[in-house]
Amino acid sequence: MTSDALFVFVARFMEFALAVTFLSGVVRFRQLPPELRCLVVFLGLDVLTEIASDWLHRHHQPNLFLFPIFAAVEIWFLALVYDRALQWPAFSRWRPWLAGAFVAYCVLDGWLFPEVARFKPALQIVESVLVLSLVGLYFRKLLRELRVTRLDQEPMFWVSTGIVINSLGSIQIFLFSNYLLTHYSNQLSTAAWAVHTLLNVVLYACYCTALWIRPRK
Amino acid sequence: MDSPPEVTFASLFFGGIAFMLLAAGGLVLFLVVYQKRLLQQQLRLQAAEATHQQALLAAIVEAQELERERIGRDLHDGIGSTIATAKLLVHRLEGPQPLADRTDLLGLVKEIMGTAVQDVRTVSHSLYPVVLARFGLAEALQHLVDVSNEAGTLAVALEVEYPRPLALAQELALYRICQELMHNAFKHAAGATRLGVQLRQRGTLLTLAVDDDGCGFALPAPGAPALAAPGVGLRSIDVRVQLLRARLHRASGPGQGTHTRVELPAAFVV
Repeated sequence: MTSDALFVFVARFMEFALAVTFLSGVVRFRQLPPELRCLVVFLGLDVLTEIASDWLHRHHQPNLFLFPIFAAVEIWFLALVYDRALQWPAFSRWRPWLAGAFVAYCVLDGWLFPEVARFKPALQIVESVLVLSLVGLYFRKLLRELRVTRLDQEPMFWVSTGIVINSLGSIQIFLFSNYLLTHYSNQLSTAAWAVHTLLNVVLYACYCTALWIRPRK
Repeated sequence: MDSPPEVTFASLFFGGIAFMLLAAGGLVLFLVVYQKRLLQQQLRLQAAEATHQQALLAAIVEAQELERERIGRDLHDGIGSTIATAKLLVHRLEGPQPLADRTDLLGLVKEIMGTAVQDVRTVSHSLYPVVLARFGLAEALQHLVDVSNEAGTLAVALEVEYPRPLALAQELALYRICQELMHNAFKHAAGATRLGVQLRQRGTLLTLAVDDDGCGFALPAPGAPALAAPGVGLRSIDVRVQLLRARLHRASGPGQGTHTRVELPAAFVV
């Protein structure tokens, strides 16, 4: 199996994982707490982005411009998810400003420096740091309030675990994405993005677990 | 991916990703273990707190029962028998009696009824110190000391320096503590020649001290388990000290008397 074929296989697997996760969320939507409902809406937008990206790729059109849009949507919705989970008035006050600032950064970056053939590592790194900060706040709340007796029964713990694994694992890929393209073979770059796609599968598996378990406080 | 530099970079690159993934796993594992440990610690604390609360509740209930028993005994043995005697005398007055005897009997009934009134006042004062509610802690302690001195078993000296009175609930708790400590001294301080009571309010600290020069007793070493469970009186003192969020210091030794001090910081004064 060539690296391209392997990447296509992994990408299809990730799309399947995303579809299953989104459908799980739709099926259980009424029983879900507000924070997970936000996550399901975000997953719906994720599905739309994947469809658009795939369609553009099939028609040999550049699809990298979708990335800043998706990053902005992801930060906005994850901030909403964690706002509902944290329930801290201070965070609720600052959330629209922080998420709004990132959305503005994405819009300006996409508008002023449009890219069709290169990645945007800075934007990806900032996004990862912001998402990891949200997870950090949630972990701090877990340790300070000690309300959760079983972490494996806590949906937001699974969401946060998926994000930690995905973000920490992907940071290096984001950092070296353009360097790989310019200095090394296409094969290595494809292998790196295959790893990123696998990390996305892990993320969706964690989301799916969070959507299926019943929270027990 | 054939050139050696690319192979070297690839191994470093993927090794770096693996390291980051290990770090992520380690972070999650640390969170799980640490959270579990904190939770167990919290559960242990809650269990200890619950046990302590239960012990306090048991002490309160026991103290209430003993107090009821004491009131019942006072009523039965004191006021009850006095009134019964008065009733007998009143019955005798109904019969044919010479006038002189009737006058004597009437005088006796009046005297007995006077004693009964005094007994009722004593019981009611022990139930609720009216002086405390009307005039405050300093006057109530003075009254307590006066009554004790009238009994004459042990000379009690009182020193009061109390410029800023506390709330009634706190004064009542301090009064009860003092009452119990004095009662303990009368009961257990064999050979004592003096009993000192001090109430001092200096700076941010209010101190109530009760000292005697009696036989004393051997206190258990700090941290050592008590040989026997403390009596109801001592437990009720502990309960009140905790309710006041005060500190209790006891010092005693065979032949050295007993010195008890209750310290109430101003931060807990309502």
